[in-house]
Amino acid sequence: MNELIEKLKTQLIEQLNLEDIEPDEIVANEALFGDGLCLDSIDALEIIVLLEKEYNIKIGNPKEGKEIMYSIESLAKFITENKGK
Amino acid sequence: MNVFINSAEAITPQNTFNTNEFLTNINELKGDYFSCVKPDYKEYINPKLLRRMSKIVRMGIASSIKALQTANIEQPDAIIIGTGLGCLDDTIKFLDQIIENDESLLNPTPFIQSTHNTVSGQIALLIDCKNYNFTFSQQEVSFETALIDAFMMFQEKNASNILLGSIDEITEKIYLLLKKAGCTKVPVNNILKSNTKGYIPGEGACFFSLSNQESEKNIAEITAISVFNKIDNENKLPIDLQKIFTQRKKFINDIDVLISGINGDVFEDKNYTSMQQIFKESIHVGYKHLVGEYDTASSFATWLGTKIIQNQFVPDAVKTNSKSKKSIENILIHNYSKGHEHSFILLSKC
Amino acid sequence: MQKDIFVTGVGVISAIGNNAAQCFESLRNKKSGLDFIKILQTIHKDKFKVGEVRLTNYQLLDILGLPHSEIKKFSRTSLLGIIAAKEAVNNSEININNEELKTGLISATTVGGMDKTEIEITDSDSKMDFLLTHPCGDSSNKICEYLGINGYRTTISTACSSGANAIIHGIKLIQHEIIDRAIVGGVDALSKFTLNGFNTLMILDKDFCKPFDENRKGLNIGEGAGFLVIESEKSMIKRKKQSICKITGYANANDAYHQTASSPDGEGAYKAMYEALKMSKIDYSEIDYVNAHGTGTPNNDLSEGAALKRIFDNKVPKFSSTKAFTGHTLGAAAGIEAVFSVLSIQNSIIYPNLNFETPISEIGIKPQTEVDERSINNVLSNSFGFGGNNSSIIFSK
Repeated sequence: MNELIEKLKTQLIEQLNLEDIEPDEIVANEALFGDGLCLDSIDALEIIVLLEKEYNIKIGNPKEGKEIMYSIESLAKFITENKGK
Repeated sequence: MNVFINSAEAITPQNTFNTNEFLTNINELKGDYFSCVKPDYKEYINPKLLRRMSKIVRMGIASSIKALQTANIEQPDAIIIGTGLGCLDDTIKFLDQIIENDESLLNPTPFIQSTHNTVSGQIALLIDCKNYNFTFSQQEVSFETALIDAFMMFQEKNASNILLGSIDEITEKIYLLLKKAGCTKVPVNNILKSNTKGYIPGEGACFFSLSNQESEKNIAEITAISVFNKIDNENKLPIDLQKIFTQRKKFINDIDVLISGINGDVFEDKNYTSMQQIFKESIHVGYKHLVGEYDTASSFATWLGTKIIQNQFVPDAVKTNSKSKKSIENILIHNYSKGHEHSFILLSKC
Repeated sequence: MQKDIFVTGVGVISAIGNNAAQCFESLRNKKSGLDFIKILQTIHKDKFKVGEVRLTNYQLLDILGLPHSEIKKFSRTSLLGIIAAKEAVNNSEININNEELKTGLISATTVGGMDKTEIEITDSDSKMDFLLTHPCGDSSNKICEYLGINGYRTTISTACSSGANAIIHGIKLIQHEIIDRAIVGGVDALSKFTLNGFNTLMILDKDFCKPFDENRKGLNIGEGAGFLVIESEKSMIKRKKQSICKITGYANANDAYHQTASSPDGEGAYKAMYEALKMSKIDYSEIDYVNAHGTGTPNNDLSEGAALKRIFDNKVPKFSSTKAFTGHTLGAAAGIEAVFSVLSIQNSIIYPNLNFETPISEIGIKPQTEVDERSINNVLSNSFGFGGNNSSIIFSK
């Protein structure tokens, strides 16, 4: 799980072009949207693409994504439970 | 009614942004096309927002924010922009993905950023400006028709300050397409006298804070704008331009500087000869050998003219004849578009 | 300044008809043009319903009397644009060659000749003519060339409000006497670029869109072109022509909320409608019909609905979106819907908002669901785009 969390941090930084942020600056259970990393709805869509590309998980409705994407931790948990289904 | 320029900021292939020098240290062409000098964008744009922005969006936002800062305007009454080809890099990025991934697993960001009004929308968002917001895209007259829109707003008294600008970019991919199409020329020394076909592509973002109020902020005045002129008689001014001269009580001899959009294409540049003949006593200026050819290059000419008036000095790097003047009161900018029409912008000292 | 601006001609081509009469019949008979994709080559052919014009590019050339050998010269966008602009000119009976009156063309498009670019850019044998047809300004140039317009022309590209802004620019040019009359509107052709683009935003409905419905899931993309001929009073008097209606108000404002989403309270939409109404000096109660932007996306319809309630103080006039007929035609939308607004006044009719069942719970407003034949004096037409660009135009008898 920790390995996945670290991998996700790097992937997110790359996918969302978070230029000035290092992986160890991202706190795994901190909110990704709103405060914290200040991601927005466009980033949510990018994460949906990432999930499909890298983990073969399809999210059909962006509203579904809200809880899943709360933090890196919740994202990792979701992937672990759903990978390749 | 007067239209004053209170600030003129440009991000271009030359050192034109955040500098007091005026085209003294010239950047020679490196490579096949002119690319903009990159300023420190973090000075103008929050890094959290910067991450999503392509080159053209950064250029547009930084130069527009600076133009507003210099003129001390927090919120213009209108934001009006011209762009010939819009956000090309993101357009190509998304198109490439569609082709390579066969319409699957596509990223939304380049699509969102590809719309022509991305820059005007982003500026509004950044400064929380809910006012009039237009983007014109009519190839070589994109900037000119945006300027006409600004003129009309001032005339209606619907605005007392307007942010007017233009953006266009070149990328390696676009360059290769233009080259394949036979539009470009191989880089040469002395571009304007090369006697060869084709042009060197370029890019730039130029923004102006305009006002209809006379004040000590005024740097120059845009006295008139005229588009879609045909030159029927090589020895006479086109009809509409003559009308403007009559109305503004200007004569041929009043034009101290003629800025021509010559780009070194031996065939296309012939379209400038007639005006150069008519204004043979004026200082002749060219600029596309410094910034390249692109649809909204005439906004750079407007920036250049503004700075010439402000500094009362024509840099050697842009002079194409050896005339000189005691003072510079009036500048005529001439651009020819491949639609066989000529446009003119008349700038004056305030 | 010439204050009053008159509409003297309309022209349109869309999924519901190849001209104004055909489109009007479809609207009156509740016949939507949304269907699976037949012409555009895409892997999404059987997935999404769109508002496609059921004519190939060769057939469009035939309509215009242009030889098939010229196919490479025109993007589909240009061909659609020329057809609609030509109809508007014929409908208004203006003589473009009249040297006493200056005619301009102000068009709008979001992706220009992308329909041609996306096919030819991968063709290694391509003669690169897509570079000429790609820019937004090309379709406007082609319209001018075909119709013989030599004067002022420009193109506006502000996403889905483009067509309305083209109309606004044309109005101002006439009021300032830079031109006497103008052909104004917008055009966009279906493309893989926009279809996939909106798909990545997850705002396409796999079924038929349901504007203003609680269970709306998104939009259906469409294509087409819509143009008006607008003139000054001086121009109309000179040629003794009657007008169909007037344009009495217009405005453009910015939401400044998000790059693609509209604010929940519809601030930008509110401001555009407010300024247009203020200019028209019409009492709010005299607006007989609102032709809404109503794309069917969760975001737009909530935002626009909230703005309608605010501005009309909960007494929202009869309103409907026609996008369940034509799809969302992007740069053409405001042009096509301007034509529909003018036809509404001319034919005393309010169009139904198809596929509506349940009002949006947060706002509770109900669009018109049946054809309503009644005298129409004033129509408010809304068009809102990415970048928070919001425009409203008021047409009056």
